Amino acid sequence: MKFTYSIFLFLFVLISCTKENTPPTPPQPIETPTGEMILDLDPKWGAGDLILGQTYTNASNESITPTVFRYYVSNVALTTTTGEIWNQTESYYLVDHANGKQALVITGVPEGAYRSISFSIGVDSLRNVSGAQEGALDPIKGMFWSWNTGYIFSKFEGTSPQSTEANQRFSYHVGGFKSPNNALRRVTLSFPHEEHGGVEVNRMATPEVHIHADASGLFNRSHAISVASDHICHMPGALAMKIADNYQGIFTIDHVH
Amino acid sequence: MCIKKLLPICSGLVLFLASCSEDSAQVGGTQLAGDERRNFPEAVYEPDRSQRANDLFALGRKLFYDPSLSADDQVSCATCHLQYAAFSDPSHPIAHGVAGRLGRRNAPGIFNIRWVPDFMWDGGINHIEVLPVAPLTDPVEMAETLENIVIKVDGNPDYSPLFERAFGSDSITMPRILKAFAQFMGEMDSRNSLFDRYARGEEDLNADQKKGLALFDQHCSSCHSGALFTDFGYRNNGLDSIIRDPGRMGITGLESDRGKFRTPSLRNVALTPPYMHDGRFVTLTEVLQHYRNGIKPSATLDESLRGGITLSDQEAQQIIVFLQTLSDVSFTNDPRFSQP
Repeated sequence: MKFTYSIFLFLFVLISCTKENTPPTPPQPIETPTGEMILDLDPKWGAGDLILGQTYTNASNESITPTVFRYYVSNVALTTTTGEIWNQTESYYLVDHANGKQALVITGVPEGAYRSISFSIGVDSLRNVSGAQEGALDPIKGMFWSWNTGYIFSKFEGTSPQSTEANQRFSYHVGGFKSPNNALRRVTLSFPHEEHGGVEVNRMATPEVHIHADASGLFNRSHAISVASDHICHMPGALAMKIADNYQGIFTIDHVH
Repeated sequence: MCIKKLLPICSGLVLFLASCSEDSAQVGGTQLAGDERRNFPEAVYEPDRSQRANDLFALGRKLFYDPSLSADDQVSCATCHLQYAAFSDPSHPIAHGVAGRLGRRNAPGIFNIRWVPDFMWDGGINHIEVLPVAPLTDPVEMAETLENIVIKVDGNPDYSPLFERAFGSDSITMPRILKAFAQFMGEMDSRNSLFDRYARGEEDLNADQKKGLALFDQHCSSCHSGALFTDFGYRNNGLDSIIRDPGRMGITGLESDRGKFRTPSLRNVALTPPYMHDGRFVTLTEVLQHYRNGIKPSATLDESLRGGITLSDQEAQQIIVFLQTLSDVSFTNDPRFSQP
């Protein structure tokens, strides 16, 4: 015991000494010039536009009238053409397609050429367990479960004659940050090939990345889901995991300009 | 102001010094030198200790007692969390809300909650700052929307200076409201019962109370353990053979959690009837009766309760007498927590 203590003491003295020997003023970090990137998220149903309140047909040949389509985009990261990764801090956006497209402005992007973008759909586990959050994560946004606390990562609601619920309602609320039902999904999209030099971000150039979010994929991208068999998802679990798998694959870059 | 702030530090220091000396030399009647219950563990949540702490607390206190936060402007947090009952509701087995609607489970007391890792009978709420969201918005409790709460608080001119002092601006947001609630409730430390004073060597227990403590340690303390008198575990304590409320299973989705509920703290237990998650027992005698010969078997029944706990009438009574020493009247009378 005493011996261990002396070792610690010795180490501590050593560390203290080293500290004293280092130059008192560390080199100033160099301010990297930054720019912005705009993500234009465009809701689609197959090849056409998704307009909430209109009726579509899913892969199970069910008639679907979506009324709500919202989701969190978080922890945006960009990879340069040389493979370096920039992670945005405090990176939480709530996308609400109530009025169609939504543009997210990614600020503080270091100037450079980028080949791909990654983001999560949902909210990382840390923010699910850290108390009252602000901004996009404010519980007032209606994307928060109160009795089994945690964020609702996405909502897709509407009506369908195939639903046995009151008013033929269906409602898919996906969330869950704990294993084995962690519904957080990462999306990585490469910028189009023609951009051989990558997408340039600098003070003069703010690229707009047009991303399609094809809601029809919620029903069949990786797993077949039908309203007839599943019309309500209001807690973490197997169904939420399937829907999350499905929407992980619905995002594509249409073009960049 | 300064002296007020210093006082707890001073008394803490004195307590610390006293603890040190007691460990070696027995003082008064204490037999608990070295007992883990003399000292609380490190808290899960630390309330703000900066200069704004008192302002944050004052704001949280006003919010806690404000019935306008409910849909019908009639129900405040304090409607079901009454200070004289250690912030529980002694007159309703299950929570009641706006328009006399009934909730699902018994309203628990509020004290020492900064030591609680997750909240409610099923542990579904993972942080003290988001604890109020459920009762504020639940249709059978205060039934208000978070948007409306912000609008109402914004519309009440009393609040603007409180927000200004607590946050440096009068902008009223839900996260700010939640942080103020957490500050008020997080300060509700209750650790000055007769038992605490006995454990600290300041007062003695009588013979029955000591006998009750010994019986408690023998039969109850494996679950109601430590300074908080709970291990924060989830157990099926044999209330029913056919389980209607899934309890912890509703959170984990695990069949093995069916009918399990949080082991409640037994601090202030004599002040917080009725008992169990559904408030089915009105007296501690009934509770003891249940553990003695009311345990009902089911698949998830806790092993330690199979067959019940063998106690004579006198022993059960002695345990109750001991449990009464866990009432902290200085907490239930503390003017800091009363209606402002």
